Amino acid sequence: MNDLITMQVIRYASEQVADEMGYTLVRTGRSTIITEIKDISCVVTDAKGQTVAQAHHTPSLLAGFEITMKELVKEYRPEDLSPGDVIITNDPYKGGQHIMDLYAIAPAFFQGELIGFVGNITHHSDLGGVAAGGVAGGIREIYLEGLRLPMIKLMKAGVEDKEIVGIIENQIRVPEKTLGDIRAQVSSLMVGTERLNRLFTRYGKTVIQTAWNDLLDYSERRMRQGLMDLPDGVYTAEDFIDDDGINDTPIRVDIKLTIDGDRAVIDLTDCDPQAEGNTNSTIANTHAAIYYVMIAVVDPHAPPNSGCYRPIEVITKKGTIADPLPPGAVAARTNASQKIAEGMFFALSKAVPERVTAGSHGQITTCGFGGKDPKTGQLFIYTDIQGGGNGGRPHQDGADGQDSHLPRFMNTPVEAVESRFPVRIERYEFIPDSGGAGKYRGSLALRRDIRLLTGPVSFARYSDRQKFPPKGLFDGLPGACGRILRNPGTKEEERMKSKGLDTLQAGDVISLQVPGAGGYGDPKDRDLDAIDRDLRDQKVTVEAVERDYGVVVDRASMTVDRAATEKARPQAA
Amino acid sequence: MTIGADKKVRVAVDVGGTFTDAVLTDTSGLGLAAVKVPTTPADRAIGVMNGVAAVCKAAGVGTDQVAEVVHGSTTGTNALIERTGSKVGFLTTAGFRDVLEIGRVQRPMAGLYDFTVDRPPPLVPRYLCLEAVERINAEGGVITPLDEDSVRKAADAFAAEGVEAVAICFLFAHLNSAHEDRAAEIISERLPDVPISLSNLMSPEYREYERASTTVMNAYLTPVMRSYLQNLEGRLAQEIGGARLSVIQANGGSTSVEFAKAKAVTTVNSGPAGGVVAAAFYGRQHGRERIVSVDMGGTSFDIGLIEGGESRVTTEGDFQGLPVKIPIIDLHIIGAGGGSIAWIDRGGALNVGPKSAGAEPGPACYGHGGTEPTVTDANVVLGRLNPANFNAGQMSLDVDAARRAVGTIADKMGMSPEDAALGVIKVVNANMTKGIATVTIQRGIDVRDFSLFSFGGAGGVHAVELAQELQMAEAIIPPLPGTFSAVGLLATEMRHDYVEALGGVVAQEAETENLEARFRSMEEQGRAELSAQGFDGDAIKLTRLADLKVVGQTYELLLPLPDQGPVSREGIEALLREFGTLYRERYAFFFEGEPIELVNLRVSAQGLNPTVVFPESADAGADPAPAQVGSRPVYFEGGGWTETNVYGRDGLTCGMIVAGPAVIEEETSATLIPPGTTAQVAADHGLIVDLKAS
Repeated sequence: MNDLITMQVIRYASEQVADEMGYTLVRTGRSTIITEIKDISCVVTDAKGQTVAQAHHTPSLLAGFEITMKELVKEYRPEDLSPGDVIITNDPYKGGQHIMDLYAIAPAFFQGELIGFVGNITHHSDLGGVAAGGVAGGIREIYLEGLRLPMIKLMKAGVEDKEIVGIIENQIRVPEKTLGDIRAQVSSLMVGTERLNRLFTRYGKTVIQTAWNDLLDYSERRMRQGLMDLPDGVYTAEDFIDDDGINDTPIRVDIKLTIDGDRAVIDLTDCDPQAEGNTNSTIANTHAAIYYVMIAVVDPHAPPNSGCYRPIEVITKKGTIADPLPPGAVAARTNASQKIAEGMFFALSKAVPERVTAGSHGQITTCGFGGKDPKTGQLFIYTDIQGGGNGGRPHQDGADGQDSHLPRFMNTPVEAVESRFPVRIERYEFIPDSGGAGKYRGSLALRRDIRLLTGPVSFARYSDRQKFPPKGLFDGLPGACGRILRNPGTKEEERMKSKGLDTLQAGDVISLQVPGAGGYGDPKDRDLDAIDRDLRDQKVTVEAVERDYGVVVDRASMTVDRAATEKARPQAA
Repeated sequence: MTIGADKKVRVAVDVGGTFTDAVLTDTSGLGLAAVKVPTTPADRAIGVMNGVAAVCKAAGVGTDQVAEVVHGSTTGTNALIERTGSKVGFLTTAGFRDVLEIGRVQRPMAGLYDFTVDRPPPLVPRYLCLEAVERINAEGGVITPLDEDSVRKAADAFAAEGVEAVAICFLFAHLNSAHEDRAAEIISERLPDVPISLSNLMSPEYREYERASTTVMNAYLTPVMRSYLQNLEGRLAQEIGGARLSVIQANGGSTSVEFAKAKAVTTVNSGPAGGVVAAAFYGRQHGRERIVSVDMGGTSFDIGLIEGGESRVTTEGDFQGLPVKIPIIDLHIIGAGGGSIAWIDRGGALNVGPKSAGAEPGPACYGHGGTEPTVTDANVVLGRLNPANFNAGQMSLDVDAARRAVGTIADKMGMSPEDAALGVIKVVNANMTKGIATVTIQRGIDVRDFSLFSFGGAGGVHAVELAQELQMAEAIIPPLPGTFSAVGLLATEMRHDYVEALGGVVAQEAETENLEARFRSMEEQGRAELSAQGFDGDAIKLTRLADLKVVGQTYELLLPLPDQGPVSREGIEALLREFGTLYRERYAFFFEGEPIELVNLRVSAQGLNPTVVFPESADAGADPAPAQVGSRPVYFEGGGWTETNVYGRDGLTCGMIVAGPAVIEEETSATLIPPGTTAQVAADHGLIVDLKAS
């Protein structure tokens, strides 16, 4: 920590390199999952593979780099690498997330010496496997989930390996999209290595390497100081995944969190054994959930890098839902990792009630529609991810219409979807009463209804919180469960499994209704003006308000009747 | 020089938070004069009129000589910041009532790990968002005809709620405007005096949330801008009579009051846009075509980019965190200024901003009760600012208060106040450098062959160091840096932008006649608008541009057509070559032979105004001694306290060379020439610090 001023200067410059890589990836990508949703992440690491800077995208994709880079520096010694090399992998059992998330990593050189790596990870529309989009639930084996690539050099000294491209091309449904997206990843890396080289030219090797080390130490120090502010103790929590898409039994996530001075130990060994279906959380994904919550609670403004992770020890047992063994399938992993994050918040709520949120939607509703586009005669794959809201917070409601926790995705605009895919979106709106009541209300659930204009179309998806609702905290009430309906409001209305792979026909409507989020604090303590606003905005119904908040609503003005309420709820005055 | 009583003059007025700046030239661009008067927040039009009167007085002309007032207004910007715009009713396609509040669902960047950070709330609450039964598909075809009763019902509800403006955004209205147009007719029958903003007119491009956001913001600002401009027009007519009022827009061009009233959203952030235009204008005069312009004031640092002598325009901007899909000058604004507060975080690192001491209490050295160390305090501790001569000598600075304030962080870091102050400067410079990188490097632009162009009161003491940090070619500090944005308003051209969406034409296969016809029709509109505003012949400049992308990708690059003549196959080939070059520059990689799509055609129509001529001095030799007003110790990294010459900007004449270390002082700004650098004085008194040699 010699020079914290130089450290800040180098930090901003390194973050800039990562941001620029993210920008390039979005601008040159082809699938809407990159260009609209932005399901990507970009990092700069030092020569040991420690993350020193990340772009402002998805935190959940990040911790995987830590593990992937450890594997990478084991497999490739510096002398095995040359400028212009690009290594790709998506192996969930080597730091990967799931098959659809492909890492691309390039070594960066300065004056002939390896000085670090730049990396990105991107969710692809297709990398083969049993279901278009690769997001089917209820899959038993990793082999069915797509093309599992070990660490391989896609580019050698700037030249694309035709044989590898040929293998990939043969396994995928929409090669022009996927290969275009992979090349966007390469572009982003080329920009990254070039900018990093420029940075080294500007400041010199020693200055940057010292600053990077200082930066990692600095983040570690901030986390340790933050941990000191948390009361020592052992805090536990549990949460449940509805099912694994095959067996109709809940799967338990068990958190034992120990705060001990300036360190934390998170023990997950008592989590349920790994599932037969693909709700298993790979180790990278498990770490991501834990690191996210720890940074968010302990020091949300610490520079997010490998230093933050040093005071945190994660203990898992192989063969559990939090650390599965091959050939376990993993695509629906976010059902588990979001529960780990939820459990972490609930465990920490006992230590620092003012620094946590009530239960969020606690899953990620992800679906892929695949079929033939009648206009072009070509295959199409429409992958869509639905955002979900936050629970009530210590001093705020959960923000309606704003995604929460691990991802930082965007939605796909209706006009972007309909311009590209043979579907029509018939509604995209809030579901009233879906936010759990509380002193601070949980955010409302979102509903998106999609009509297919062609058929047959495969419908792969995973989602959760359809049996165990988003939890309320400190007497806050739970939020609404999610559901997926086929042809809602018709005689054929059918509730579909939360995780699965089905075939739909032209004209079918799929209604994706994500879960709401839990309330924070006793509903009886809610500000009456806030209830009035929710009534005015039709975010809640009169019946629900009277039931959950114990108030009396004047039907003429549709506002809380203060006098009548005082009788019913004396403390409200 | 004096302006004869027979001449007409043009006045530009730039309204800022604290000061209203007014500048003037005659209609040939000669006789430049500049003044600052206090802004009058209760009714800003009063300050504007005061500025006009004061600058006329300073130039020795009568207000009856004023032919035109060009106005940079903060009214729209303030209404957005303070959320004091009008009550808007929003009408959209059934099923999509929540489009504004759902937005793109993304968590804000500042909230990556901080779940207490939220996006700004929408400008229209949910109860005023209503639905019309109708639907148009992705080809522009009608799936569900407009149910006029559903619109009437919404109009009744808007009337009952007393909305002051209405915004309509239906799905795919950019491809087929019939439903929006008809809905507007129905609503105006019920609400004849309420202005209506339509998405197909405001921003005819896809992505419903961004289009709706733009339309709603326009509606939100329309009543405010209308009444402000009417008030100002009234005062102008009363006190001056006959003077034409023009309003600057966020695209860096000016427009008529009528246009500004109809497209109020275009006036947001127009002041900073004027500064970028001024920098581009000044750069062209000096043969500089690549410029990063920075305007550093008390609380913010506005960064603009100029390439090929033109300011850069984006259609992906936002105002106050809400997207606006209209062409605006690509400006990046960060919270770093003289008032930014330095603080030590829990890890022991020094940070500067974004919190600012503002105008009250202001930096500790102002002596108004501020105790926290600011960037200005650091500059005072280091001797870079003259405590006895600040803001034209109207203020003196309290050096002890500055040292005490900086001392609080120096103690925590275990260093001297001077070294702590240097640290503050370095960190704020790093913030600003990162901000500059965001608009340059991030767009694939190598700033090393750019000039840094600095204005605004607080900029001069940082400019040369910033340029050095970024390895830029030179730093330029123009004459009148304190009122330079207002100079920019005088230099702006009247400007209207037109766009035609092509809906996906592969450029290699495009029919040239069709493209030509579309360009012509936009050019005719532009010419008609401009001639209605008094421009004709050579004073009208039309530029053809196009948005192109690789087929299958989503984001376009905007390029002027290399061949501005009638569209030809060769011209398209040339455009594609330019696209390939730009693409490779930005994204490092370009696969030859990919099909390229023409997404939009654009025409920018400009009415050319007279240029502004800066008064020049004769070359009186390189020795700056005649301009020296004294010397004082200034603290530099490595060298410690160093006796440093101080010069008066007014005394500097063409050809003088000021060797660093030196400080150049003027009424509302000061410039630091660090050791090892030299500033050359241009004929128009601009300071040019060449960094290529050092």
